[in-house]
Amino acid sequence: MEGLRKEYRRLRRGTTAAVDGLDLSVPEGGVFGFLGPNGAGKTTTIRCLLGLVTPSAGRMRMLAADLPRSLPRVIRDVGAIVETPSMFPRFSGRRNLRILGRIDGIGPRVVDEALERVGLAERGDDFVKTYSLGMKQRLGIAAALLKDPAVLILDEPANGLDPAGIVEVRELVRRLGAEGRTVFVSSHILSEIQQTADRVAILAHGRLVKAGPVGEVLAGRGGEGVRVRLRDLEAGRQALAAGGVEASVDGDVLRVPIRPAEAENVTRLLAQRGLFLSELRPDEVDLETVFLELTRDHQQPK
Amino acid sequence: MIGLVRSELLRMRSRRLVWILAFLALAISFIGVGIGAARSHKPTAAEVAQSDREFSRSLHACLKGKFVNEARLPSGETLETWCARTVNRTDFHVYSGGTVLQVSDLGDMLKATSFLLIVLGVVIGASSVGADWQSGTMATLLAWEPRRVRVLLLRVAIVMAVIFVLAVLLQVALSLALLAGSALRGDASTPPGFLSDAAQVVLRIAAAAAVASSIGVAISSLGRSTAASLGVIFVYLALVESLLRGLVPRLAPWLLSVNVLAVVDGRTQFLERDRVVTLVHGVTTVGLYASALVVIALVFFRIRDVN
Repeated sequence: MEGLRKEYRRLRRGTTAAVDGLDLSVPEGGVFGFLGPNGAGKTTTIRCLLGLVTPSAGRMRMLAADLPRSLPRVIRDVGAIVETPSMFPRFSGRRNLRILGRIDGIGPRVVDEALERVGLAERGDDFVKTYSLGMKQRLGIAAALLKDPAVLILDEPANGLDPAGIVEVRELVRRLGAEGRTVFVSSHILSEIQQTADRVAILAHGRLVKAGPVGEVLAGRGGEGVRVRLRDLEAGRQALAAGGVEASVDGDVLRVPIRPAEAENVTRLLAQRGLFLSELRPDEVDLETVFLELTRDHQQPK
Repeated sequence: MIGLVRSELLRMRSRRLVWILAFLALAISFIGVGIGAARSHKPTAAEVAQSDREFSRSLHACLKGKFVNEARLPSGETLETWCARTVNRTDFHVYSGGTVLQVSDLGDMLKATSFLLIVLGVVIGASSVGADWQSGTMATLLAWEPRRVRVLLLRVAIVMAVIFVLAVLLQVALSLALLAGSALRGDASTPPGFLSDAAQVVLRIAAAAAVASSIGVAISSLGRSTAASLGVIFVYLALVESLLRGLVPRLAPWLLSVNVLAVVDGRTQFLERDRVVTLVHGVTTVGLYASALVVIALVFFRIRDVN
């Protein structure tokens, strides 16, 4: 997508841009994480892609088709859930999927397989209104999978899931990406994206803040080093300094800017002074830190 | 396209509201006929002779021009044809000693219950779209079939077809119940052309209910809510049209309710100040109103965001 913009006109607040000139390219195959805090414009972007809202400006292409004009041509290859998947509450899960499946001539056997795949086979004949939020999410994923799509767009798929459900969805997303599908996952749960996505884009206030492979986005943020935990941090810092290793006290740990492979120097220098560490681990920067850093100072557009 | 039709049909078939309302309509019809049959009796020979005498007397009076001024007859009609059409033998089968259930009353009975079927059409039509907006499934549906005009047009067509078939079946059920009740405890004699007339009434009412359902779909699509759209429709019919009829009588021939009545009745409606609404006028006006509403709904459905 190029220069994607979606404005909403409000009677009292004037015009606000939910998406503000978004340029984004998602490579074919693999899992692409679409990150952003609530209200960043993730769902609006997805709605634009699916033709549910009309962009105010910009261009979009998916599977070599211009959107939204050629969406009907490619929609057969696109499975999607937008926010909490909406189904008829007084129909069973199976009935809901059959109604959707019939649009593309998908038979009951495929519906049963999809329910099986997301672990809802047993509850398939129950009314959707009796489902938990997590079950509704799984039903939404089953609906998205019915078409055996090349592109899967999942908007916050882990919303409302219990820990076991989150792990299931994570593994499912990984598996789908590994099958060669393009899985576009939006989320504000950064750890989920870090564990599943090959590439990420970070969005704030409708604008792209950073995009690229996960490793690349993390690179240069926080640097290499190890964290050391011991009883007397100041004594530890001095011991390391005497050995030519600069360290700094950060809360209840010492941060030592050396490669993890050279950590034996740290243990040796500390032991020579009779200081014994209780913990030593690589000082890895996580996506959450990067995300907060990147979005912290990003100003709300006027 | 076929897939979407099959999906819509499955959806309609799965809707409990359709079945519940159809069952209620059927139950009301059967209970009504049942009560009528319970209060009815087979006419005695004396009662039949009496009603025949009344009929002969009325026909004679009619042919003498006592019921209508010959000069004011519709063009192409003679006094003989007008009287033969207007003064029916079965109209005089009003027997003493209580009501007698008569098959010949079927047309009037269907017309009297047509209100129920039209309401059924509006409610099912409005809820067929309102439910999608209420449960958020419109976004889910459009993520499968993004051609919005196709989605709404097919929805209108399917709802109209279902309501038409349902209305025909319910009326046939009522007719059979009345036939059975009359044969057992009333008068099952029928005037000439009875079946053809009854079939026309059934089809006209079913068509009116189907068109009413399309209006329900259109308004509900615009308002994105079943309750709000039903409120708008009933406030319009009960309040706005009544006010218009009272305050601007020249608009009466263009009111929806008057034209629907002309369609259901199948006869020219005579309004105040010599204004008339013919069947053709009624069919055209109702059709135009419904089409205009559907077109407006399509335009808005196509351009509005689905959030």
